[in-house]
Amino acid sequence: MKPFVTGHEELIHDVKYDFYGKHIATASSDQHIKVFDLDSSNSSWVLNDSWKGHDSSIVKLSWAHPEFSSSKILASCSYDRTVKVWQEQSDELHGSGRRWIKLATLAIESYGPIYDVAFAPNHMGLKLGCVGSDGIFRIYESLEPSDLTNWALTTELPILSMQLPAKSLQSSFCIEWCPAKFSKTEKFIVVALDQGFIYGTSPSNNQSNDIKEEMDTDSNSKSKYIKLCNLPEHNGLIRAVSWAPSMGRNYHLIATGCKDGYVRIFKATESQSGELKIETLAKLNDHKSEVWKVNWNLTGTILSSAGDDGNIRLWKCNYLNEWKCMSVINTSNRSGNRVIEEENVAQNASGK
Amino acid sequence: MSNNSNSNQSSLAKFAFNIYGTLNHSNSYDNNSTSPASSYSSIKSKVTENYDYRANKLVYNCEREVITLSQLNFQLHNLSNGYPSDHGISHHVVVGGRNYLRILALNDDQSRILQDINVLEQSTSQFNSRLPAINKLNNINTVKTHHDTIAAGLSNGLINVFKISPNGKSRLINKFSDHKRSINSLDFITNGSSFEPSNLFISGSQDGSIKLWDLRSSNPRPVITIMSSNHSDPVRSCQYSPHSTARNKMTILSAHDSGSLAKFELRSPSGNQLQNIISPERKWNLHTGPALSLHIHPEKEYVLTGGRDQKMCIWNYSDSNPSSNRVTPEHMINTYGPVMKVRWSQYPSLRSGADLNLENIQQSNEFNRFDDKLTYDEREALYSFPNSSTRGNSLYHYDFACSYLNDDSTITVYNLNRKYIPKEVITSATNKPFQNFIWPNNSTSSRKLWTVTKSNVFTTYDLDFQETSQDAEISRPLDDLPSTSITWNNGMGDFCFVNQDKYEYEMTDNESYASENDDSEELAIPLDRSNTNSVVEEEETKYYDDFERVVGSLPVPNPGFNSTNNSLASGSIEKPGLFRSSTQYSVNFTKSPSPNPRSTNTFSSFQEPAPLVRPKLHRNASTTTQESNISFGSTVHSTVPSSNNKKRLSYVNHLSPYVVPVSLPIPSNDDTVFEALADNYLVSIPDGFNLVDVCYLNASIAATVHRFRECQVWRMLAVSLEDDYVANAQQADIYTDNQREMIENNHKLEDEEYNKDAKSLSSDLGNFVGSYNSNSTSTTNYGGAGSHNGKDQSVDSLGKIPRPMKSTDDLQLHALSSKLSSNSLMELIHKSRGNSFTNASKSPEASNLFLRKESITQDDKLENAIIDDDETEDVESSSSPKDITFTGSNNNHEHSAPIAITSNESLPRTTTFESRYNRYSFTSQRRPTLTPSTHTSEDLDNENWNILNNAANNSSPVSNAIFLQQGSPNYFNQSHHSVSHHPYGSFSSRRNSAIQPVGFPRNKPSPGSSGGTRDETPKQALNQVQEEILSLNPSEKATIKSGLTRAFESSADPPANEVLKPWKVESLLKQVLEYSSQQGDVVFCATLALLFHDQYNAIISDEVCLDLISLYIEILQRKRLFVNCANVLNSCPKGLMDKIKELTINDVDLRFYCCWCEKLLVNEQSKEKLKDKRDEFGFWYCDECSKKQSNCIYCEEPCKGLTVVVSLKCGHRGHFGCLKEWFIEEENIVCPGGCDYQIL
Repeated sequence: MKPFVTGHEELIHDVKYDFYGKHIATASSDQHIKVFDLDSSNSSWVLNDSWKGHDSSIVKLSWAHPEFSSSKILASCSYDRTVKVWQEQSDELHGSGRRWIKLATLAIESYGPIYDVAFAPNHMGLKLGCVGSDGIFRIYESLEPSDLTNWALTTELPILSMQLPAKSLQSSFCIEWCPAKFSKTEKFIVVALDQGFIYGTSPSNNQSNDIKEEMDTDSNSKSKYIKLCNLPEHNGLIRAVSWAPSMGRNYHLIATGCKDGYVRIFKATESQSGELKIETLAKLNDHKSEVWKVNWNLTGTILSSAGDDGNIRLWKCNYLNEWKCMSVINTSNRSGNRVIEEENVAQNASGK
Repeated sequence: MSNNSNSNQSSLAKFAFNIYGTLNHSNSYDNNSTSPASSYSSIKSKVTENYDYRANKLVYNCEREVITLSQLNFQLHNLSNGYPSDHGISHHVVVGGRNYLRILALNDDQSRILQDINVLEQSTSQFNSRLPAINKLNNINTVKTHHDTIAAGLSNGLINVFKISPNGKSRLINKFSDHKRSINSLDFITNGSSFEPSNLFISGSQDGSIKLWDLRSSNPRPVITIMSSNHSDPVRSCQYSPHSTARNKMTILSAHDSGSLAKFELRSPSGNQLQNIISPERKWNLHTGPALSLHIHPEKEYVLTGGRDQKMCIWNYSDSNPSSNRVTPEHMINTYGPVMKVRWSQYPSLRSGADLNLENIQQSNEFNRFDDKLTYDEREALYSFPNSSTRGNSLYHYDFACSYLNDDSTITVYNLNRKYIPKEVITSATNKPFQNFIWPNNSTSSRKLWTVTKSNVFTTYDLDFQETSQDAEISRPLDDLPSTSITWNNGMGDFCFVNQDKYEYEMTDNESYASENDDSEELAIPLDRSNTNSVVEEEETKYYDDFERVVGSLPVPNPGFNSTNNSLASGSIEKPGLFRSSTQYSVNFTKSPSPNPRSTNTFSSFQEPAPLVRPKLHRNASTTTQESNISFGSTVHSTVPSSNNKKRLSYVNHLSPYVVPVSLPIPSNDDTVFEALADNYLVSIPDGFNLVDVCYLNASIAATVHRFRECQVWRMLAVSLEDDYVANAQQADIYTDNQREMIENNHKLEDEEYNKDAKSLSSDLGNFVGSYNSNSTSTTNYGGAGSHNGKDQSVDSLGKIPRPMKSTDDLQLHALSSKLSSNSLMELIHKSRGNSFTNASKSPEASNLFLRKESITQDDKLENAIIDDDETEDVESSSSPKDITFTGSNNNHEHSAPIAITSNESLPRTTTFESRYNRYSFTSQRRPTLTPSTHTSEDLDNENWNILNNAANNSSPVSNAIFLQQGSPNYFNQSHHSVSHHPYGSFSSRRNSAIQPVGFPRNKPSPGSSGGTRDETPKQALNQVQEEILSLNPSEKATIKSGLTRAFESSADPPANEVLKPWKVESLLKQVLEYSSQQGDVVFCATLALLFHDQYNAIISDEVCLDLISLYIEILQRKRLFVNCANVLNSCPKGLMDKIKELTINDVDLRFYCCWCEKLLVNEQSKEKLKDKRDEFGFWYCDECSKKQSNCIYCEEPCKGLTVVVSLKCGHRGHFGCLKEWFIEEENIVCPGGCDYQIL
């Protein structure tokens, strides 16, 4: 796999693999979204299309699960205060700029930049959550699977009740759905400034489908999600949050990247009644600068964090249940040395 | 007075506001609350003058609706209270609104409002008699000041002009009322200096006209009226171009509702002077909606326009610009809202990211300080002459800001250096939309903004003030935008990240200058034709001279990037090198050296890029990236570079972020291994196998892909399972988990081999079958396991052996072993086992143990050799101890007992075999005293007797003590248990050895099992006896099943205090799961879950199992291994199948409509009717009209089920056979339906 030039004229703020790993979508401040296809014959990435998606910096992307549509669906959110949903038109030419058509423009109710958008895991149905600087978490659901241009705002959750982002000039919001498919409740994390909240459906209702449908009606939409707990300890804006796939563990792992330079790993244990108990497993400040992104891999075993120091660090839990840096990858050309520090990797390999 | 009525009302709000303001912004707001009535008395004493003044943000609450503001650069003398203005610039604000026109007198550094002066009040008082209506209907739409003159445009088309006297008094000097509709824009015609009074000004109105007025004339008619077109096109904004004076012209620009930008030349002869109407010299349609605002660049002939189409355009309106025919503007900036106001900053900005020479800035600031005194010409000269090259393109130096229409509460500040990301975004404190703003002149040349909001608040912002980071209302998006990103692929360790630098997208001076020069080059193309070539060339050489000078002064490019590359190459990871230039400087370097001006444009540097240099992206500086012109890297389908060359537009070398896919070289991240494992792992127990077999098979599969660790784990599990089976089968009562046994038994019953063997054995054993059932099963089990082992070994050693072959092998071995006669066969098996396990033996402890045991068993061998000649052959072989024991048990029970003892007591080396033997005999004699001998003696035969002896031995305190000695570190404290639970004691020793991968366990089973059968505590003996009695019952012994079920039925009441054993399958499983889920080995985990969930529900709970399987399925889906996915789905544990399927299989609802009556086919009636015959029911007929659907066109029978149906192109279809008959055998060429469709 070779690195490839994206052709973006500005910083890329988000890059995402699709479900099968055959496409990469990039979102940039140059207001363009680009999608690249994997050419498996020579394992190179070829531009699928590039189009102007928004009128301001595009900050996040999210692919919809392929089960919802035969053609790929992508959601993007931008500082232009909208969320847009795109669908690929397979009959349009590659690189024509017309290959992706806009299905819907969402979140026009919010008068501020949208910081994050994320499709819910597929078992929850085709819905997406987004959060903007107005501090309201919104869930849009596709009501008719046949008509993807039709999205309804089903939930509005004011995250920052009463307190607007006043003290700090920067703002940071992000969301992350709980990926566990068989968890008792639907859960997600919303991060607003320096606080993180876990919301979930009320554990008391037994998630039977009829009840859920009832809950989906408008009357109850506000009470559908309740705040389960907070993420403690943050001393600055939380820049990123990631919820690990549980992989048979009886607890959840949640990682956050914070402006204070720490990567924090939390262990959330779910009690029988659906309450969450949060423990801090690790506080890692190797970046020594603002941490921008944290991501778990597919099995929730390796955590990647990207910081302002231009490095990506990979974290892994060792046998003593300590989180150790596995490798450091330099992503920018600031220090000129971008070799993966291999010793750790090698160690890991031999330990395997 | 109307003000008074409002004042009470508003004072409260104002009070509250000012408290709020004070709270937020420290001190010094006390004078904001100056009430208009007491305006003159409200001059406060000045605050101590410190340089921190900028921390204080001015907030002033106007009590009326304010719409517009302007800066008054006129000294108001008596206000400043001994506060003389050194700079000659005075800073006052004129705020206008509905019935509101007020001067806010600011102190020198603009940090405080000294006084507010109501212009209207004074004016009316003075002119009341003459102009009575002035206090009414004064809806001021726009205000423009120049020197001491304030021009206010009203919404009714009136223009009032006020003069301010130095003492703050104002008077209305003129009223112009020629406009029919509201005045949108006013501008004074000046020579660029704000200090010379100007008597000419222009006004743009909604009625579509621009009028030029002369203050000196007493004539209320305009000097000139300008109409942009014959029909009315409202003028949203108009401005006089100060640059035009240089060319002795009077240029006026206007932005119109039609979206066009019009340029008028007042001194050109084209206009119809007689009618005082001038039509535009040029007109450009820039915006698709109304263009709402324009502002002219302070240095260059560029104009910035903003429109409702959410765009800002920067346009070169100079006469010499040949690109004026272009459709798209030179720079276009998309914003997130319809743009209402646009303004260039008054001063060049300090740039944060790019390394602008500080000295230059200082220098330029020096100049800027007195900018207002300079004419534009002078300024131009100042800027262009001495340091134009270092200063670069002044177009890029000035920020510009825009405010938005509607309810948007932000002002966005941009700079062309980074046109996509706003430099600053100002959000008004109350989230009220901004009404208007200006960049004021000030003494420090800092970028300030004065704003009025729709909540009638006047606020100032200082963008250059460093401490604004504490100002919540100014945000810098670049700080909030993540400069890095990473995403994980669906592999365990595949991800890609973005390789970019936060500041590399900011254009440096040189780049911007280059782009400017490119523009001039672009100019040169048409100029070439007009034979002005030499001029251009001269220009260019000058540029390159400048450029080289600049480059020479630049720091040396970081040599580090060469070493980067080297280090990459030396890295053992197969990660491709990341080639890129390390800084912008190197980009400059590549293009600087060439002396030839013509060829050293940016193209040439593109065509021959240095291999190490990151490919440059060609950003078209003159157009934005619209759909038509995508910027390409190297990976694009279409061939764009050629078209780029053809178009010959100007380019800026520009970096573009890379996306770098990375694959971590960790073992779990091997796709082929993953696929192989996913393919080959048995996820369900096939017919004829049991769990142990499956474990061994999986072990061999793991070994084929070099996952030896996993292989070992599988084997370990298998071994402990074997032990478990023994225990389960024979001592069902010990185990708590009835369900597990049930399933296990089911497995066994499914096991054909088992049945076969058991039957043969049962026939052999005659009447005692019932009681020995369990015993026999154990032996056959072991035979099976052994044969698998042998097979595994052969697989290991020979590589891949096809599965069918394995099974035949397997069967063969089974058949042989079931006879239990051939010693040589057993040897074979044992050898193979021994080999496999000696390979596997790792821990020194284990091998130590093994050695010790061997040393002891050497003694045994001597003994055995006497007894059994066959075994002397095996003395040398490493697997000899097993052989001894095994054969011992097989051949002669008399021998098996002592051997069992030796192996159990293998640790105390000092004891001789004889002594042990003695002890054995001793304990065997003791045995009857320990256990209720009556029962055991009932089924006395040789075997049982020996077994009993064995058991007795095990249960003796001596042997217990030995177990403890022998125990591995994790050995549990068994001393008290062993007394009451002898079977555990004996088993523990066996299992302990089983855990050591030495091969030792293998010699245990037969003696162990035989021992186990009758190893009973006194407590359990009753059960055992009961079982035996029951199984002896002729009616019960008919089937094995009944015997076994009986066995665990009798054990319905299990012993409560089950002992925790680390080698037990449960604990092993738990450990293994924990470990591999931590390692992220999802295949292994999920396979375990699939295989073991049913039996070890306590360890692999439903939730865990669901979780693992769903994750596994998802990963399989992601990897597009759909076959495996379906396989996993089908072998899901029964109880969980529904839930999993619910997740993964989405039904597709197909609705059929009757093709005759067009009604939905529900066929409820026939569903009822055919309840029992489901296969008859279908949707191939219609209940309503009783007709068949989708009939074959040939035979008229419906095509249903999995019939092959051929659809013809005409839409008719039929069975394959029918159509074949029709077309091929009868050789017809038309459709049988008679539609005349010809097939051929």
